[in-house]
Amino acid sequence: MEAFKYEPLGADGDSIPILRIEPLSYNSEHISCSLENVSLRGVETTYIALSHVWGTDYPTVKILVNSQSYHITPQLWHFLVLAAQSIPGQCLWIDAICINQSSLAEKKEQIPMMGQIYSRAVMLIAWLWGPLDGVGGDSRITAARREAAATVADVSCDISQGITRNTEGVPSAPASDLP
Amino acid sequence: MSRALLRLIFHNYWSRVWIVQEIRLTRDREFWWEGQRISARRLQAIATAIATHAVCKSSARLPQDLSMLNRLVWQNLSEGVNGGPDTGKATLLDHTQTIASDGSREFASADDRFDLAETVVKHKDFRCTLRADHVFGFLGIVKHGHLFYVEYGMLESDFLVQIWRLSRNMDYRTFNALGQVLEVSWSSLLMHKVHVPWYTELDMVLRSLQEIAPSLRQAILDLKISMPSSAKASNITSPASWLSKLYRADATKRTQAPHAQLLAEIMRLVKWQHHEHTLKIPTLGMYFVVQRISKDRRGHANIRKLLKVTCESKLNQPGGKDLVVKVVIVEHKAGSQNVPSIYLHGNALLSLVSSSISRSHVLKTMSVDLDPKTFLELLRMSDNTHPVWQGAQWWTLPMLPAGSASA
Repeated sequence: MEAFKYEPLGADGDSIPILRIEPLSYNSEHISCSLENVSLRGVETTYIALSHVWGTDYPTVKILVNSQSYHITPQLWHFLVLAAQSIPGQCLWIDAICINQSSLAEKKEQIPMMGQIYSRAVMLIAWLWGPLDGVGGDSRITAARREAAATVADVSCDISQGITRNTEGVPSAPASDLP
Repeated sequence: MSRALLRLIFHNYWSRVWIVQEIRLTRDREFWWEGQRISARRLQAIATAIATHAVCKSSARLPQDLSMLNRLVWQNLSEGVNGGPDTGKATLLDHTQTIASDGSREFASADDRFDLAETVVKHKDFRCTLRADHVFGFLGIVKHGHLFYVEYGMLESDFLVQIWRLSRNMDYRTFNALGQVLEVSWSSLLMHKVHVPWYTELDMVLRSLQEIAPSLRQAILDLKISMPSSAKASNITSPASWLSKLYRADATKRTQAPHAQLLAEIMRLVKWQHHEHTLKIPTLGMYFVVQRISKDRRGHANIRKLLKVTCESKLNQPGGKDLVVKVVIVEHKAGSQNVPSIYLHGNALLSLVSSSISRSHVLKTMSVDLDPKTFLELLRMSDNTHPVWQGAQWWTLPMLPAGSASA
């Protein structure tokens, strides 16, 4: 399979690549998405922008972009799996994919546009991916405190409801766990 | 859930430079972590609940597990503050305001945007891979950020000139702090012969003071080189009087002028020189070993201003709220009179104080510990007529930089 190649951006300095994520099917072997350049001025494109920590992992996981192979970091892959399940077909702007990281010229062009890209996004999803217990993780939460935190978790009262009770004007829709 | 929340609050996501504008610019935000998702409003409610709890300490209104979460959060925070690898790391609590903001709609006009230099300095502890991202990461929310020419590996001087163009009004302290955040030397501007009008002059002042100190007089004399011809024309005879004229020139401009603080500093030195007080200036801006301020009205006003600035800057540092300002009142003999003096010292410099008075002349000492907030309040309330300050002779020993306490 061919490696993915970026389409050159338009000369107007106004277009950005947008990623559309395809729904997972029962025989999906890889996460699959399409990437196409759209004009920022075109009001018809609504996209969700992603905010995340890049981390230090290498892009080792294969996905398909426009049916060509493309490698991303595990943390981003985890996000795409969730996204393919919960927001399939949605347009996304993800800096790690939508900015051609190997092209200095393109990076140079896109960084000043970040402000516009984020403010025109219909919504922001912040993806706070952390290794689960025991796998590196936040050095601040030491083992001892992890234990202490576990004690707290045992109290079965729903925090979100508690806050809603005490903070006026905050809607009480409970956070639904992702599938 | 609490456990997941704790990890969310301390997630390294919050200390990343780029996320500030990402969160700030979007209207609608959702946070996904560990199989949970939470809206910005509810996340803000949690952050506010925790922050409010710490301030008012009334846990009665909080559900039990949240107050436990609170304890854990504050325990984590204080451990971070008192040292350890994560000192100064940002958490969710540092973003409460950002999350509460109304996204891009707030930036309807350029004036609503932030100042570049101030924003960079404000987020100095945030992390990014490349130094330049400390600037690039905020271009979306700062004034005229779109005018910044972005290129990694651009000449340091070009980079600095651009920052300067966007933040012309930065004061001297911001200027200094910015240099530290970006790990750049402003002097590269000079090396590349870039013309930033006041910079050449400022640099010259700094260099002369650093090189020639402790001979302050010499340093001031050297300023002659950069005296404008207009100053010579208008009957100004000495560099010192030129400086003083410059400083007094315009009260409104003064607060904005980048070199105002430096000038103020120099003015103080010049004045002391004039009064023939002894001064040692190892490095300008680092510390003054002993500052003596005379008993007059102006002296009091100056000392209050200086203390206010010192205290406020200390308060803003991590752990600042736990600082103790030691106020030592010493009554000693001056000639035939008993003079009460008030000494203030940052890191237990009593020995230094006493060395300036003959020990046998000390009649009485009294020590009071105040937290900086109370102390600031006291300063604010007081004027020259307040009994606390009356009749007192002022000495002050500002904080010495770490490691030089034995000086």
